[in-house]
Amino acid sequence: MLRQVSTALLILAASSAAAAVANATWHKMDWLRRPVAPMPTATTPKTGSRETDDPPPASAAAKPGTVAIDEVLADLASGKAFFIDAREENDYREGHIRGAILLPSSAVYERMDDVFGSGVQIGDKVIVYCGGGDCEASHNVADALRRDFGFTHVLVYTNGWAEIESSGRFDEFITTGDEP
Amino acid sequence: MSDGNARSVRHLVAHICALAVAGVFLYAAYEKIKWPQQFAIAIKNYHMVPDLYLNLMAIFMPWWEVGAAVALIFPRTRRAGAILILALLVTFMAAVSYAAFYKGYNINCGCFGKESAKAGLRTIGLDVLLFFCTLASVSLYSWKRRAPAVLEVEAGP
Repeated sequence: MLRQVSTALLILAASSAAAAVANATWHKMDWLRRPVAPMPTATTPKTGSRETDDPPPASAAAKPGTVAIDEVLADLASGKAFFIDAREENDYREGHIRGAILLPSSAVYERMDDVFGSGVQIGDKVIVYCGGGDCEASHNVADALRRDFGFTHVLVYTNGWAEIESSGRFDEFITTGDEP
Repeated sequence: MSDGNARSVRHLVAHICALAVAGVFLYAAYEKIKWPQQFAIAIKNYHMVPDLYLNLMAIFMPWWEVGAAVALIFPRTRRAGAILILALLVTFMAAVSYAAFYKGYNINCGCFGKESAKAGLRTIGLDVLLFFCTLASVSLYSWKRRAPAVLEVEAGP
């Protein structure tokens, strides 16, 4: 038994060496994951109600690196931002923001060509959304865009698809199918 | 069925089990080695590894799978490979159980890159199947050397 465990440890050491060589020569990924710089707070346009003493609606309170519904709608109307849908393909097919590029968090690196192919530049404003609520896909995709592809202006629409569907304010911006 | 035939059948089944498990592990490792950053995201979703060490795990774990799978294929290193495979499977089952059942996360298991299923019962079921296949690949294979044939010399009259 001791001999088998020793052999197992030897195999583990050899595999680790192969992994180290592969990373040093091929992937060149950071050995330790450094945190990315936090994005600035979104410039949510102030509406009339925001200038009063009334508390803003829950969905309008954007944390750093995120956007709220008003800014999302403004960007949709003006076409100033690119939208990325971080949900899986089936969800995207059932409904998504018109023009949004599909980039599921389970295939970010494999599908990045779709993003660059659609004309997005690394300095462009990019808004990423997923299912809303506690879904982390949009955060993972945004993190990858900033960390590994150098995008400088990536924001997460935290309330995501749940709010897009339920608010009734996106009707003219929603489409279905495989095409953006 | 003679002892020799039964032994051959057992060895054949052991080899098939070993090849099946190794094949699954090599396939699983391929996607992770190709896209380690993607695998880091899959690990992150489990919330079990500190962010600082996500890359280390994503870099090393797929190669451990390769090493264990290759070792499982060859009879000489099969038991050592089985130790590693079983250890990896227990780790996977514990991680999926923690994330999917204890914490209730709705996440992809990350087992096969982008082809991964949701972490849950199906994933655990596959791991259990691989676990028993690995055990079979070891327990059905006999490492004892055949005893040298004894020449019976008939005594003369």
